[in-house]
Amino acid sequence: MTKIISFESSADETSVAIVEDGCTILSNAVATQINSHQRFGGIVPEVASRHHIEWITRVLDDALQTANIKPIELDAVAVTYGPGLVGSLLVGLMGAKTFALAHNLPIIPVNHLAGHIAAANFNRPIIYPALALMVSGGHTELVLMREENNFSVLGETRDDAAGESFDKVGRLLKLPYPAGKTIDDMAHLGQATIKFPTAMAHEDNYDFSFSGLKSAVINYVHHAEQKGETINRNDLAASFQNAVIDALLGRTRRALQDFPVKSFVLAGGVAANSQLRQALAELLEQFQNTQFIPVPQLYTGDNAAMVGAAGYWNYKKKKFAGLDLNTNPGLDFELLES
Amino acid sequence: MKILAFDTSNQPLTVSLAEDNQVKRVFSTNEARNHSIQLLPAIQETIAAQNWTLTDIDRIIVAQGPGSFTGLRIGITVAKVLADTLKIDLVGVSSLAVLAEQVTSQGLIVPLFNARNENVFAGVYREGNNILADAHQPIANLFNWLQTYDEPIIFLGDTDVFSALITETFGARAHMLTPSESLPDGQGIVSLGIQASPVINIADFNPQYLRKTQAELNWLAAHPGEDNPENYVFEV
Repeated sequence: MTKIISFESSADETSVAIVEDGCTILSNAVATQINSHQRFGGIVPEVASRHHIEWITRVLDDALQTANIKPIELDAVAVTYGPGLVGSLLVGLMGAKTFALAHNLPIIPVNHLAGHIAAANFNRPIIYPALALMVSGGHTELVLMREENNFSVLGETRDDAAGESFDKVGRLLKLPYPAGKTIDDMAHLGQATIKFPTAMAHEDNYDFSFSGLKSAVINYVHHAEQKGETINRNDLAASFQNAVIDALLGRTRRALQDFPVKSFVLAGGVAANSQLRQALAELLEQFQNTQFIPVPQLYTGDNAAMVGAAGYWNYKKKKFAGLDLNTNPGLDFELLES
Repeated sequence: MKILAFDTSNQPLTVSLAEDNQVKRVFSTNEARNHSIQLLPAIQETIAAQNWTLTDIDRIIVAQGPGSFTGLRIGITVAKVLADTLKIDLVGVSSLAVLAEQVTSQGLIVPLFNARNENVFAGVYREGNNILADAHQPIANLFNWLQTYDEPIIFLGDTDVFSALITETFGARAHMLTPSESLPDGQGIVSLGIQASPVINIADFNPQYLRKTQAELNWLAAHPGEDNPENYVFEV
């Protein structure tokens, strides 16, 4: 049994977890700064960094206590070193490296995006080759995994991330930040009566674009305001969400057709969206040889347990780092070589 | 008492080991390299060179600020996690007091860090006492305060940026140490930290930024009386 303690602090969650063999969560302490950043309508990096250092030892102590594990029982320390906000990443990175030095444990560097995908293992084991749709506030990409711990990007967003477009539309509708959950709830109460464009639906690639959709929503609202018309906010939310999901679905269908895979993973913060989960479950019914493995809703947001899951992949391959490991805020997967 | 002390509050990086007030070993560099890369290897190598282990350490002393926000967080995260996980006493000292401690003078000692836009992080010290509290302030305010005294003044820290202004304002009464003469020497931090009582709650030990973020200042101005720090972060 391999026990890994993991650290995650790339954005506005400070988290430490202990995970066994990459799939069994012994503890997952998460401190969220959401109430703080709601004051500003989005994450303020310096404020986020300050909160991380206020919470780092609290979540560390909680993770050890909840799992009832002593440092001597651990095998390695995994940590997110990118992508993310550099000041935020630094606190988790320094905390993890310090813990590793104190207890003479190897350090496993983890790509935050790999962490999101690895969280599917908390649902059931990913079978390879696999395809992942990674959707969050910072990323929207289709990732091919020919084998475990091997990632190639098939396509990604050319402008806004899907989650970012939810937040921007949320700001337009004066919804609290982050807006994803509220828009999802509103969409359930409304009808998708407004036809928004689904960008790039006919282009021959796997890329996404959401800025055109965002502009169309803004124009729609401004146009209605100018004419003094009241808009049905729930219908607007439903129409917007539909357009996002249509775009995600279209690209996913194309990728699944071109790359026959054994499992399909839905990961990232936007994977919590109930309508997206439902729509993808229906799409996957057309692909009988592909198992649908959405990340459990509880682990779609940022958390350290997912870092422990991805860290285990690196642990098995002995991909360790030294005490001089630094952050890599722009870290990404390689593009697929064509 | 075996002591591990380090200062990452500005570009210089200093790690020192001491037995009580006697410094045994100092690692120091002023290269513009990332403290995030250098600090832990420096701690590991310095301790190994002294034939000590981390578990021998009885007290950690860290420069708590003011200084570079990122630099402070690097040093203080290391200090907090080490102290927390190895149950070592933790002491924080002012990064400005550390510099003042290195100077022998009966006059006024003014360590200062450039905070841009004609602002400084600075305090005024006399024979080990902080007679004007460390603060983020316009340099004009600091100079006005100093002009109410007629003692000799020693400036140190980021003096290069302000040297013309200092000479113009205080003339021969002012003496300046250059930035390279103002590097933390590894002794000042030990002398200060050995006298202090360890912090009681390590989780509550945080950098002394001495400045709120601009986003918070703007928000507070627009929302008087609504600040509720206890509510901002919570465990889920």
